[in-house]
Amino acid sequence: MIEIAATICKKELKIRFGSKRVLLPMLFSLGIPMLVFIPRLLDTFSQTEYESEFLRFLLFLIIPVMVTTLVGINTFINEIRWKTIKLLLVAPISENEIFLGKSMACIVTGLITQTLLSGIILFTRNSVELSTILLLFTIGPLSVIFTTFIFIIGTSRFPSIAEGGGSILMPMGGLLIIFSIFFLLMGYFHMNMIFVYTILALVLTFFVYVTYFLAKRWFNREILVLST
Amino acid sequence: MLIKAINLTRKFNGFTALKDINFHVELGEVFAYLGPNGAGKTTTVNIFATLLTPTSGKATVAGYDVTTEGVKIRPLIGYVPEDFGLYPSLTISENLDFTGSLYKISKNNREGKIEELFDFFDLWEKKNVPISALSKGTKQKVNLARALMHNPKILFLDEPTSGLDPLMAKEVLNMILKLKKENKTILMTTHLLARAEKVCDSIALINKGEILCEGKISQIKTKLNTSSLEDVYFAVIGENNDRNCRNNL
Repeated sequence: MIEIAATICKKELKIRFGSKRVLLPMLFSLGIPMLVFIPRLLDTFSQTEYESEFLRFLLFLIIPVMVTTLVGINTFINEIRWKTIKLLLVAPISENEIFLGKSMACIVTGLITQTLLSGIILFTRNSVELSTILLLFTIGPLSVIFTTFIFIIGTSRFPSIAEGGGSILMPMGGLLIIFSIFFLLMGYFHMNMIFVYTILALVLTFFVYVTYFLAKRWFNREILVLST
Repeated sequence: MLIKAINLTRKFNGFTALKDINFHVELGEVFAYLGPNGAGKTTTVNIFATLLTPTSGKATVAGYDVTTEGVKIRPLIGYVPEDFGLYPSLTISENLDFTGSLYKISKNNREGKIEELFDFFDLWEKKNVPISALSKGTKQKVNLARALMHNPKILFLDEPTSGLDPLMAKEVLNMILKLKKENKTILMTTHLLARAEKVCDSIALINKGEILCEGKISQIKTKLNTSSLEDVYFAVIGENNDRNCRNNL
Protein backbone atom coordinates (compact mmCIF):
# COMPACT_ATOMS: atom_id res chain seq x y z
CA MET A 1 0.00 0.00 0.00
CA ILE A 2 2.75 2.43 1.00
CA GLU A 3 4.76 1.60 -2.14
CA ILE A 4 1.93 2.60 -4.50
CA ALA A 5 1.04 5.64 -2.38
CA ALA A 6 4.70 6.72 -2.53
CA THR A 7 4.69 6.27 -6.35
CA ILE A 8 1.62 8.49 -6.67
CA CYS A 9 3.11 11.02 -4.24
CA LYS A 10 6.37 11.08 -6.26
CA LYS A 11 4.44 11.63 -9.49
CA GLU A 12 2.51 14.51 -7.91
CA LEU A 13 5.70 16.18 -6.71
CA LYS A 14 7.31 15.67 -10.13
CA ILE A 15 4.36 17.37 -11.83
CA ARG A 16 4.44 20.20 -9.26
CA PHE A 17 8.18 20.78 -8.97
CA GLY A 18 9.57 19.02 -12.04
CA SER A 19 9.29 21.92 -14.44
CA LYS A 20 10.85 25.38 -14.14
CA ARG A 21 7.70 26.83 -15.67
CA VAL A 22 5.76 25.75 -12.58
CA LEU A 23 8.51 25.93 -9.98
CA LEU A 24 9.71 29.50 -10.61
CA PRO A 25 6.33 31.26 -10.23
CA MET A 26 5.71 29.10 -7.16
CA LEU A 27 9.01 30.08 -5.54
CA PHE A 28 8.35 33.72 -6.41
CA SER A 29 4.83 33.71 -4.98
CA LEU A 30 6.05 32.00 -1.80
CA GLY A 31 9.42 33.75 -1.47
CA ILE A 32 8.10 37.30 -1.13
CA PRO A 33 5.59 36.57 1.68
CA MET A 34 8.22 34.43 3.42
CA LEU A 35 10.77 37.24 3.35
CA VAL A 36 8.21 39.49 5.02
CA PHE A 37 6.59 36.96 7.34
CA ILE A 38 9.60 35.07 8.78
CA PRO A 39 11.41 38.07 10.40
CA ARG A 40 8.09 39.31 11.79
CA LEU A 41 7.32 35.80 13.12
CA LEU A 42 10.71 35.65 14.88
CA ASP A 43 10.03 39.07 16.45
CA THR A 44 6.79 37.83 18.00
CA PHE A 45 8.65 35.21 20.06
CA SER A 46 10.42 37.93 22.03
CA GLN A 47 7.14 39.73 22.76
CA THR A 48 4.50 38.69 25.29
CA GLU A 49 1.57 40.97 24.44
CA TYR A 50 -1.84 39.60 23.57
CA GLU A 51 -1.52 40.73 19.93
CA SER A 52 1.87 39.04 19.54
CA GLU A 53 0.36 35.69 20.49
CA PHE A 54 -2.21 36.10 17.71
CA LEU A 55 0.36 37.24 15.20
CA ARG A 56 2.75 34.38 16.07
CA PHE A 57 -0.05 31.85 15.67
CA LEU A 58 -1.21 33.33 12.38
CA LEU A 59 2.23 33.72 10.79
CA PHE A 60 3.43 30.28 11.87
CA LEU A 61 0.44 28.51 10.33
CA ILE A 62 -0.08 30.55 7.20
CA ILE A 63 3.23 29.73 5.48
CA PRO A 64 2.99 25.89 5.56
CA VAL A 65 -0.71 26.05 4.65
CA MET A 66 0.19 28.28 1.68
CA VAL A 67 2.74 25.68 0.52
CA THR A 68 0.23 22.86 1.02
CA THR A 69 -2.32 24.83 -1.00
CA LEU A 70 0.12 25.49 -3.83
CA VAL A 71 0.97 21.79 -4.08
CA GLY A 72 -2.56 20.56 -3.57
CA ILE A 73 -4.37 23.17 -5.65
CA ASN A 74 -4.16 21.04 -8.79
CA THR A 75 -3.35 17.65 -7.31
CA PHE A 76 -6.96 16.57 -7.19
CA ILE A 77 -8.66 18.85 -9.67
CA ASN A 78 -6.14 18.16 -12.47
CA GLU A 79 -6.76 14.45 -12.16
CA ILE A 80 -10.41 15.19 -13.00
CA ARG A 81 -9.59 17.87 -15.60
CA TRP A 82 -7.08 15.64 -17.45
CA LYS A 83 -9.38 12.59 -17.05
CA THR A 84 -6.41 10.70 -15.60
CA ILE A 85 -8.41 9.73 -12.52
CA LYS A 86 -10.04 6.95 -14.58
CA LEU A 87 -6.63 5.47 -15.31
CA LEU A 88 -5.76 5.39 -11.63
CA LEU A 89 -9.11 3.82 -10.79
CA VAL A 90 -8.83 1.17 -13.50
CA ALA A 91 -5.38 0.07 -12.21
CA PRO A 92 -5.23 -2.74 -9.64
CA ILE A 93 -4.86 -0.31 -6.75
CA SER A 94 -7.41 0.75 -4.17
CA GLU A 95 -9.03 4.16 -3.75
CA ASN A 96 -7.26 4.25 -0.37
CA GLU A 97 -3.84 4.05 -2.05
CA ILE A 98 -4.73 6.87 -4.44
CA PHE A 99 -6.12 8.92 -1.55
CA LEU A 100 -3.04 8.28 0.57
CA GLY A 101 -0.60 9.08 -2.25
CA LYS A 102 -2.25 12.36 -3.08
CA SER A 103 -2.67 13.38 0.56
CA MET A 104 0.97 12.51 1.18
CA ALA A 105 2.14 14.90 -1.56
CA CYS A 106 0.29 17.79 0.10
CA ILE A 107 1.06 16.87 3.71
CA VAL A 108 4.74 16.06 3.17
CA THR A 109 5.52 19.40 1.51
CA GLY A 110 3.55 21.27 4.19
CA LEU A 111 5.38 19.40 6.95
CA ILE A 112 8.80 19.96 5.35
CA THR A 113 8.09 23.71 5.24
CA GLN A 114 6.93 23.60 8.83
CA THR A 115 10.03 21.69 9.94
CA LEU A 116 12.27 24.26 8.24
CA LEU A 117 10.33 27.08 9.87
CA SER A 118 10.48 25.36 13.27
CA GLY A 119 14.23 24.87 12.79
CA ILE A 120 14.71 28.59 12.15
CA ILE A 121 12.61 29.45 15.22
CA LEU A 122 14.45 27.01 17.51
CA PHE A 123 17.84 28.08 16.15
CA THR A 124 17.19 31.75 16.91
CA ARG A 125 15.78 31.24 20.42
CA ASN A 126 17.90 30.92 23.55
CA SER A 127 15.23 29.10 25.52
CA VAL A 128 12.08 27.40 24.31
CA GLU A 129 8.81 27.40 26.29
CA LEU A 130 6.47 24.40 26.39
CA SER A 131 3.79 26.44 24.62
CA THR A 132 6.19 27.03 21.70
CA ILE A 133 6.92 23.28 21.51
CA LEU A 134 3.17 22.63 21.41
CA LEU A 135 2.71 25.18 18.64
CA LEU A 136 5.60 23.90 16.53
CA PHE A 137 5.12 20.17 16.91
CA THR A 138 1.41 19.59 17.43
CA ILE A 139 -0.70 22.54 16.25
CA GLY A 140 1.43 23.11 13.14
CA PRO A 141 1.39 19.54 11.73
CA LEU A 142 -2.26 19.02 12.70
CA SER A 143 -3.22 22.24 10.88
CA VAL A 144 -1.44 21.10 7.70
CA ILE A 145 -3.18 17.71 7.82
CA PHE A 146 -6.58 19.25 8.63
CA THR A 147 -6.42 21.79 5.80
CA THR A 148 -5.30 19.06 3.36
CA PHE A 149 -8.35 16.95 4.18
CA ILE A 150 -10.63 20.01 3.91
CA PHE A 151 -9.10 20.49 0.49
CA ILE A 152 -9.73 16.88 -0.58
CA ILE A 153 -13.33 17.02 0.63
CA GLY A 154 -13.90 20.24 -1.31
CA THR A 155 -12.35 19.08 -4.57
CA SER A 156 -13.80 15.59 -4.64
CA ARG A 157 -17.26 16.61 -3.49
CA PHE A 158 -17.57 19.92 -5.33
CA PRO A 159 -15.20 19.67 -8.31
CA SER A 160 -16.93 22.43 -10.27
CA ILE A 161 -16.53 24.91 -7.39
CA ALA A 162 -12.91 23.86 -6.94
CA GLU A 163 -12.21 24.30 -10.63
CA GLY A 164 -13.81 27.74 -10.58
CA GLY A 165 -11.18 29.00 -8.14
CA GLY A 166 -12.76 27.68 -4.96
CA SER A 167 -9.82 25.35 -4.41
CA ILE A 168 -7.77 28.25 -3.02
CA LEU A 169 -10.51 29.19 -0.59
CA MET A 170 -10.97 25.66 0.78
CA PRO A 171 -7.72 25.39 2.82
CA MET A 172 -8.10 29.04 3.78
CA GLY A 173 -11.53 28.10 5.13
CA GLY A 174 -9.80 25.42 7.21
CA LEU A 175 -7.37 28.02 8.56
CA LEU A 176 -10.25 30.35 9.42
CA ILE A 177 -11.86 27.56 11.47
CA ILE A 178 -8.58 27.06 13.36
CA PHE A 179 -8.17 30.81 13.99
CA SER A 180 -11.75 31.12 15.23
CA ILE A 181 -11.25 28.31 17.76
CA PHE A 182 -7.93 29.86 18.80
CA PHE A 183 -9.63 33.23 19.44
CA LEU A 184 -12.34 31.56 21.49
CA LEU A 185 -9.83 29.59 23.58
CA MET A 186 -7.63 32.66 24.12
CA GLY A 187 -10.61 34.50 25.55
CA TYR A 188 -11.63 31.56 27.71
CA PHE A 189 -8.21 30.62 29.13
CA HIS A 190 -6.93 34.23 29.43
CA MET A 191 -3.70 33.67 27.53
CA ASN A 192 -2.62 30.55 29.38
CA MET A 193 -0.94 29.36 26.21
CA ILE A 194 -0.21 25.81 27.41
CA PHE A 195 -3.91 25.26 28.04
CA VAL A 196 -4.91 27.03 24.83
CA TYR A 197 -2.57 24.93 22.66
CA THR A 198 -3.38 21.65 24.46
CA ILE A 199 -7.13 22.09 24.03
CA LEU A 200 -6.64 23.29 20.45
CA ALA A 201 -4.50 20.23 19.69
CA LEU A 202 -7.26 17.96 21.00
CA VAL A 203 -9.91 19.81 18.99
CA LEU A 204 -7.72 19.63 15.87
CA THR A 205 -7.10 15.90 16.36
CA PHE A 206 -10.86 15.41 16.42
CA PHE A 207 -11.27 17.59 13.30
CA VAL A 208 -8.51 15.68 11.50
CA TYR A 209 -10.28 12.40 12.29
CA VAL A 210 -13.69 13.68 11.09
CA THR A 211 -12.32 15.29 7.90
CA TYR A 212 -10.20 12.18 7.16
CA PHE A 213 -13.30 10.02 7.50
CA LEU A 214 -15.37 12.30 5.24
CA ALA A 215 -12.57 12.80 2.69
CA LYS A 216 -12.07 9.03 2.39
CA ARG A 217 -15.78 8.43 2.12
CA TRP A 218 -16.20 10.98 -0.66
CA PHE A 219 -13.07 9.89 -2.47
CA ASN A 220 -15.33 7.38 -4.09
CA ARG A 221 -14.95 5.58 -7.44
CA GLU A 222 -18.37 6.54 -8.82
CA ILE A 223 -18.28 10.16 -7.61
CA LEU A 224 -14.84 10.63 -9.17
CA VAL A 225 -15.74 8.93 -12.48
CA LEU A 226 -18.96 10.89 -12.85
CA SER A 227 -17.23 14.19 -12.14
CA THR A 228 -14.95 13.77 -15.20
CA MET B 1 -17.25 -16.09 -23.03
CA LEU B 2 -14.79 -13.47 -21.86
CA ILE B 3 -17.08 -10.48 -21.60
CA LYS B 4 -20.73 -10.87 -20.81
CA ALA B 5 -23.64 -8.52 -20.10
CA ILE B 6 -26.81 -10.05 -18.66
CA ASN B 7 -29.86 -7.78 -18.36
CA LEU B 8 -27.46 -4.96 -17.60
CA THR B 9 -29.17 -1.75 -16.51
CA ARG B 10 -27.68 1.52 -15.34
CA LYS B 11 -29.66 4.52 -14.18
CA PHE B 12 -28.41 8.02 -13.36
CA ASN B 13 -30.81 10.01 -11.14
CA GLY B 14 -33.88 8.55 -12.80
CA PHE B 15 -32.42 8.60 -16.32
CA THR B 16 -31.92 5.11 -17.72
CA ALA B 17 -28.66 5.01 -19.64
CA LEU B 18 -28.75 1.23 -20.22
CA LYS B 19 -31.90 -0.88 -20.34
CA ASP B 20 -31.55 -4.64 -19.83
CA ILE B 21 -28.76 -5.08 -22.32
CA ASN B 22 -27.40 -8.52 -23.20
CA PHE B 23 -24.35 -9.40 -25.28
CA HIS B 24 -21.17 -11.41 -25.07
CA VAL B 25 -17.67 -11.30 -26.49
CA GLU B 26 -15.68 -14.46 -27.14
CA LEU B 27 -11.98 -14.99 -26.44
CA GLY B 28 -9.74 -13.38 -29.09
CA GLU B 29 -12.65 -11.54 -30.69
CA VAL B 30 -12.77 -7.87 -31.68
CA PHE B 31 -16.20 -6.60 -30.82
CA ALA B 32 -17.49 -3.23 -32.04
CA TYR B 33 -20.03 -1.48 -29.91
CA LEU B 34 -21.78 0.93 -32.23
CA GLY B 35 -24.38 3.62 -31.76
CA PRO B 36 -25.02 7.36 -31.92
CA ASN B 37 -23.74 9.82 -29.31
CA GLY B 38 -25.43 9.37 -25.94
CA ALA B 39 -26.55 5.81 -26.78
CA GLY B 40 -24.88 4.33 -23.67
CA LYS B 41 -21.61 3.07 -25.17
CA THR B 42 -19.26 4.80 -22.70
CA THR B 43 -21.46 3.82 -19.75
CA THR B 44 -21.18 0.17 -20.83
CA VAL B 45 -17.41 0.40 -21.25
CA ASN B 46 -17.10 2.13 -17.86
CA ILE B 47 -19.07 -0.67 -16.22
CA PHE B 48 -16.83 -3.35 -17.74
CA ALA B 49 -13.74 -1.35 -16.78
CA THR B 50 -15.02 -1.46 -13.15
CA LEU B 51 -15.40 2.33 -13.07
CA LEU B 52 -19.18 2.24 -12.60
CA THR B 53 -21.45 -0.36 -11.06
CA PRO B 54 -24.66 -1.58 -12.70
CA THR B 55 -28.00 -0.57 -11.16
CA SER B 56 -29.28 -4.09 -11.91
CA GLY B 57 -28.30 -7.06 -14.00
CA LYS B 58 -24.84 -8.52 -14.25
CA ALA B 59 -21.62 -7.80 -16.12
CA THR B 60 -18.72 -10.24 -16.06
CA VAL B 61 -15.17 -10.10 -17.38
CA ALA B 62 -13.26 -13.39 -17.57
CA GLY B 63 -15.96 -14.89 -15.37
CA TYR B 64 -15.55 -12.27 -12.62
CA ASP B 65 -18.42 -10.05 -11.59
CA VAL B 66 -17.62 -6.34 -12.09
CA THR B 67 -19.53 -5.35 -8.95
CA THR B 68 -17.96 -7.74 -6.48
CA GLU B 69 -14.72 -8.88 -8.11
CA GLY B 70 -13.28 -5.68 -9.56
CA VAL B 71 -9.95 -6.38 -7.86
CA LYS B 72 -9.54 -9.57 -9.92
CA ILE B 73 -10.65 -7.91 -13.16
CA ARG B 74 -8.37 -4.84 -13.10
CA PRO B 75 -5.04 -6.63 -13.70
CA LEU B 76 -6.58 -8.43 -16.70
CA ILE B 77 -7.87 -5.40 -18.58
CA GLY B 78 -6.45 -2.45 -20.46
CA TYR B 79 -8.64 0.62 -20.77
CA VAL B 80 -8.35 3.39 -23.34
CA PRO B 81 -10.64 6.32 -22.56
CA GLU B 82 -11.95 8.59 -25.29
CA ASP B 83 -10.17 11.65 -23.96
CA PHE B 84 -6.60 10.34 -23.62
CA GLY B 85 -6.10 10.63 -19.86
CA LEU B 86 -2.38 11.31 -19.92
CA TYR B 87 -0.35 13.65 -17.71
CA PRO B 88 0.45 16.58 -20.02
CA SER B 89 3.62 17.77 -18.29
CA LEU B 90 5.19 14.31 -18.15
CA THR B 91 6.98 12.78 -21.15
CA ILE B 92 5.79 9.66 -22.97
CA SER B 93 8.36 7.56 -21.08
CA GLU B 94 7.34 9.04 -17.73
CA ASN B 95 3.64 8.41 -18.41
CA LEU B 96 4.31 4.79 -19.35
CA ASP B 97 6.70 4.27 -16.45
CA PHE B 98 4.15 5.64 -13.97
CA THR B 99 1.46 3.32 -15.36
CA GLY B 100 3.84 0.38 -15.10
CA SER B 101 4.57 1.16 -11.47
CA LEU B 102 0.83 1.22 -10.70
CA TYR B 103 0.72 -2.36 -11.98
CA LYS B 104 3.69 -3.21 -9.73
CA ILE B 105 5.95 -4.06 -12.68
CA SER B 106 9.62 -4.07 -11.62
CA LYS B 107 11.88 -1.23 -12.84
CA ASN B 108 13.82 -3.51 -15.25
CA ASN B 109 10.68 -5.06 -16.71
CA ARG B 110 9.11 -1.60 -17.07
CA GLU B 111 12.08 -0.39 -19.10
CA GLY B 112 11.92 -3.47 -21.32
CA LYS B 113 8.18 -3.11 -21.85
CA ILE B 114 8.47 0.61 -22.67
CA GLU B 115 11.09 -0.18 -25.33
CA GLU B 116 8.83 -2.89 -26.75
CA LEU B 117 5.91 -0.46 -26.91
CA PHE B 118 8.06 2.25 -28.51
CA ASP B 119 8.87 -0.28 -31.25
CA PHE B 120 5.27 -1.42 -31.64
CA PHE B 121 3.82 2.10 -31.86
CA ASP B 122 6.85 3.70 -33.52
CA LEU B 123 7.31 6.28 -30.77
CA TRP B 124 11.12 6.34 -30.40
CA GLU B 125 11.52 9.84 -31.85
CA LYS B 126 9.19 11.34 -29.27
CA LYS B 127 10.36 9.34 -26.28
CA ASN B 128 11.19 12.37 -24.13
CA VAL B 129 8.60 14.80 -25.47
CA PRO B 130 5.96 15.99 -22.97
CA ILE B 131 2.44 14.85 -23.80
CA SER B 132 1.27 18.48 -24.11
CA ALA B 133 3.54 18.89 -27.16
CA LEU B 134 2.19 15.86 -29.06
CA SER B 135 -0.39 15.71 -31.84
CA LYS B 136 -3.78 14.09 -31.16
CA GLY B 137 -2.80 11.03 -33.17
CA THR B 138 0.43 10.47 -31.25
CA LYS B 139 -1.42 11.01 -27.96
CA GLN B 140 -3.82 8.26 -28.97
CA LYS B 141 -0.90 5.94 -29.73
CA VAL B 142 0.52 6.69 -26.27
CA ASN B 143 -2.94 6.11 -24.81
CA LEU B 144 -3.00 2.67 -26.42
CA ALA B 145 0.59 1.97 -25.38
CA ARG B 146 -0.24 2.90 -21.80
CA ALA B 147 -3.15 0.45 -21.77
CA LEU B 148 -0.78 -2.31 -22.94
CA MET B 149 1.95 -1.69 -20.33
CA HIS B 150 0.87 -4.65 -18.19
CA ASN B 151 0.16 -6.89 -21.20
CA PRO B 152 -3.58 -7.29 -20.60
CA LYS B 153 -5.56 -10.03 -22.33
CA ILE B 154 -8.67 -7.85 -22.65
CA LEU B 155 -8.88 -4.30 -24.00
CA PHE B 156 -11.68 -1.78 -23.71
CA LEU B 157 -11.26 1.00 -26.24
CA ASP B 158 -13.65 3.92 -26.01
CA GLU B 159 -13.70 5.77 -29.35
CA PRO B 160 -10.02 5.11 -30.12
CA THR B 161 -10.31 6.98 -33.43
CA SER B 162 -12.32 9.95 -32.17
CA GLY B 163 -11.01 13.31 -33.38
CA LEU B 164 -8.25 11.78 -35.51
CA ASP B 165 -7.67 12.60 -39.16
CA PRO B 166 -8.44 9.71 -41.57
CA LEU B 167 -4.79 8.70 -41.95
CA MET B 168 -4.14 8.60 -38.24
CA ALA B 169 -7.48 6.84 -37.63
CA LYS B 170 -6.42 4.21 -40.17
CA GLU B 171 -3.07 3.83 -38.43
CA VAL B 172 -4.73 3.37 -35.03
CA LEU B 173 -7.12 0.78 -36.47
CA ASN B 174 -4.15 -1.03 -38.02
CA MET B 175 -2.60 -1.11 -34.55
CA ILE B 176 -5.82 -2.70 -33.28
CA LEU B 177 -5.56 -5.25 -36.06
CA LYS B 178 -2.01 -6.02 -34.91
CA LEU B 179 -3.32 -6.49 -31.36
CA LYS B 180 -6.00 -8.83 -32.67
CA LYS B 181 -3.25 -10.97 -34.20
CA GLU B 182 -1.73 -11.16 -30.71
CA ASN B 183 -4.99 -12.82 -29.63
CA LYS B 184 -6.22 -9.91 -27.50
CA THR B 185 -9.94 -9.72 -26.83
CA ILE B 186 -11.10 -6.22 -27.70
CA LEU B 187 -14.32 -4.36 -27.07
CA MET B 188 -14.28 -1.03 -28.86
CA THR B 189 -16.71 1.76 -29.57
CA THR B 190 -16.31 3.64 -32.82
CA HIS B 191 -18.04 5.70 -35.47
CA LEU B 192 -15.77 4.57 -38.31
CA LEU B 193 -18.02 1.86 -39.66
CA ALA B 194 -16.14 1.02 -42.84
CA ARG B 195 -12.85 0.52 -40.98
CA ALA B 196 -14.55 -1.25 -38.07
CA GLU B 197 -15.93 -3.78 -40.52
CA LYS B 198 -12.38 -4.74 -41.51
CA VAL B 199 -11.18 -5.03 -37.93
CA CYS B 200 -14.13 -6.47 -36.02
CA ASP B 201 -15.67 -9.93 -35.84
CA SER B 202 -18.90 -9.11 -34.04
CA ILE B 203 -20.95 -6.03 -33.29
CA ALA B 204 -23.75 -4.74 -31.11
CA LEU B 205 -25.83 -1.76 -32.15
CA ILE B 206 -27.10 0.30 -29.26
CA ASN B 207 -29.48 3.25 -29.28
CA LYS B 208 -31.01 5.07 -26.31
CA GLY B 209 -29.66 2.45 -23.91
CA GLU B 210 -31.12 -0.55 -25.74
CA ILE B 211 -29.30 -3.11 -27.86
CA LEU B 212 -31.11 -3.31 -31.18
CA CYS B 213 -29.00 -5.96 -32.84
CA GLU B 214 -26.04 -8.13 -31.86
CA GLY B 215 -23.97 -10.89 -33.44
CA LYS B 216 -21.39 -11.75 -36.12
CA ILE B 217 -21.14 -9.05 -38.80
CA SER B 218 -21.61 -11.55 -41.65
CA GLN B 219 -24.73 -13.04 -40.08
CA ILE B 220 -26.29 -9.63 -39.44
CA LYS B 221 -25.59 -8.51 -42.99
CA THR B 222 -27.21 -11.66 -44.37
CA LYS B 223 -30.20 -11.33 -42.05
CA LEU B 224 -30.80 -7.69 -43.01
CA ASN B 225 -29.84 -8.27 -46.62
CA THR B 226 -27.29 -5.44 -46.60
CA SER B 227 -23.84 -5.27 -48.13
CA SER B 228 -21.96 -3.19 -45.58
CA LEU B 229 -21.84 -2.40 -41.88
CA GLU B 230 -22.78 1.16 -42.74
CA ASP B 231 -26.03 -0.10 -44.31
CA VAL B 232 -26.68 -2.24 -41.23
CA TYR B 233 -26.14 0.80 -39.00
CA PHE B 234 -28.49 3.04 -40.95
CA ALA B 235 -31.11 0.32 -41.33
CA VAL B 236 -31.18 -0.54 -37.61
CA ILE B 237 -30.49 2.82 -35.94
CA GLY B 238 -32.39 4.80 -38.57
CA GLU B 239 -35.47 2.59 -38.27
CA ASN B 240 -35.31 2.76 -34.47
CA ASN B 241 -35.10 6.56 -34.54
CA ASP B 242 -37.96 6.78 -37.08
CA ARG B 243 -40.12 4.53 -34.93
CA ASN B 244 -39.36 6.61 -31.84
CA CYS B 245 -40.19 9.79 -33.76
CA ARG B 246 -43.47 8.31 -34.93
CA ASN B 247 -44.30 7.17 -31.37
CA ASN B 248 -43.54 10.63 -30.06
CA LEU B 249 -45.79 12.20 -32.69
